[in-house]
Amino acid sequence: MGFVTAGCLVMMIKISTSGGFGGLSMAGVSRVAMVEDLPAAQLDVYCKAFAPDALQAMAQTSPPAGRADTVTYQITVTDADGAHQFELDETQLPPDLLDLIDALPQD
Amino acid sequence: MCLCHNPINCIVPPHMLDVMLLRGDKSVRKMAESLLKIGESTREDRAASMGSGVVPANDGSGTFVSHAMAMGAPGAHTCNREVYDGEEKAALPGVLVRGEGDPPTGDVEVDRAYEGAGAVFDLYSEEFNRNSIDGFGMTMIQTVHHRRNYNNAFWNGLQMAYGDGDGRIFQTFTELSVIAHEISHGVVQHSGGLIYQGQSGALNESYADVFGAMTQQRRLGQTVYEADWLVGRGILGPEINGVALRSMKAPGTAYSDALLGQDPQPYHMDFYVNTTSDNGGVHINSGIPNHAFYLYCMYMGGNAWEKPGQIWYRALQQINNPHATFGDWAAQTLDASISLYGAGSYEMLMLRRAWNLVGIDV
Ligand SMILES: [Zn+2]
Repeated sequence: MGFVTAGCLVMMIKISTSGGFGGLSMAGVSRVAMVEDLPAAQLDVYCKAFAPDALQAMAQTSPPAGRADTVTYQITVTDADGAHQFELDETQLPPDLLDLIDALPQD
Repeated sequence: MCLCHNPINCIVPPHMLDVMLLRGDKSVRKMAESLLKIGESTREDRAASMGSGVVPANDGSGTFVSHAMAMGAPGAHTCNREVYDGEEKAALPGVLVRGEGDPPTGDVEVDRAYEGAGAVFDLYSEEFNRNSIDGFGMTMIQTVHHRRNYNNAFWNGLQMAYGDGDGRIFQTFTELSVIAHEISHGVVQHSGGLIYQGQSGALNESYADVFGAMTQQRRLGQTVYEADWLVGRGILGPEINGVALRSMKAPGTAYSDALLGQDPQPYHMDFYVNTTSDNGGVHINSGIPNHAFYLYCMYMGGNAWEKPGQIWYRALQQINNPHATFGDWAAQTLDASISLYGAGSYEMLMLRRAWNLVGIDV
């Protein structure tokens, strides 16, 4: 377990996906990032974007009723309180957060 | 003891509230929303589902049909396409790069999306008398180059989006059957909807595959016997051992690959896959109604958009049950075949046989 980076309580971000047009789990993404390993300039951005409270607020929204073939994200954020798990449709995630996910290295 | 102030909140179970949210008129949707305590983003969803409600049929039968069908023959249909470049970012729609009537851009993804949407529009307009996705000339908004290495295409309730693929598992998504598939999800939404979970979700998927294959066949001028019945032909990466993502002719045989495994689609109810992933296997069990459509086309001959397509389209417009099971859908297609071709007709009898062959009694 890494140290708690100053000003950031999130220590680890784990992401996997399911669903999508093909319904293929292998076509999805699988990413694990230790926050302390992220570029210093990006630390604050990732910390805020993946804060459990922020993800919880996204989970409270409803995806569009008629959507189809969208990807489901399983996001686990670990901080000093333990692991926080969220399951979110990609339409529930803001574009900036999706871009951050795309920038993480593949597991 | 029920303590709610609103009696409907006590009586209506959550799944019914889902239905009301999806299909009710404005006031009903508003009530359902408040009961479900849906958050801020739902205002956008409601805007997206405007026009998706159903109305009483004109024939006085007491049934309900979609707005588009109740409208009867509309005037001139107008095709309006907008293709955007997502520039590998997630924000939608992106930068407009080709509008209706604009010349080709030279970007193959942009131009395929534009041309493909035109073929889908023509199918619905010329064969089903439907004016675009919502029946009222809705602009078809498509974004290509969506996100980076994105292995997916989707309909988000307002528009279509296509990734470029990672080059390994997928190499493109702007193939005609895929474009038609995504646009047809929009047609489903604006025809009353099929909840994207379990069997109703698999029916939503199957309708999109059926009209995806149909668009491809019409573009190529193919009869049902000449068609390959593949969905997503050529979109898999060059190293993947497979011809397409799905096969309606032989579900379960589209690919067999060390990385992807075996195509999991069943062709018969005996092999129905119970799973919680993929919204309850919507892309898996769609193989069963897909294969029933294929078998029926083999009985009918000719073109898929003729009798089989007319029956499937009519069933979607009239089903009035977003939670429909495969059995409900099969019964609705049978009703459609009777209203179009008569009780006891060859069309009706062969349709019943096709459903029976995939393990659905109707
Ligand atoms: Zn789909």
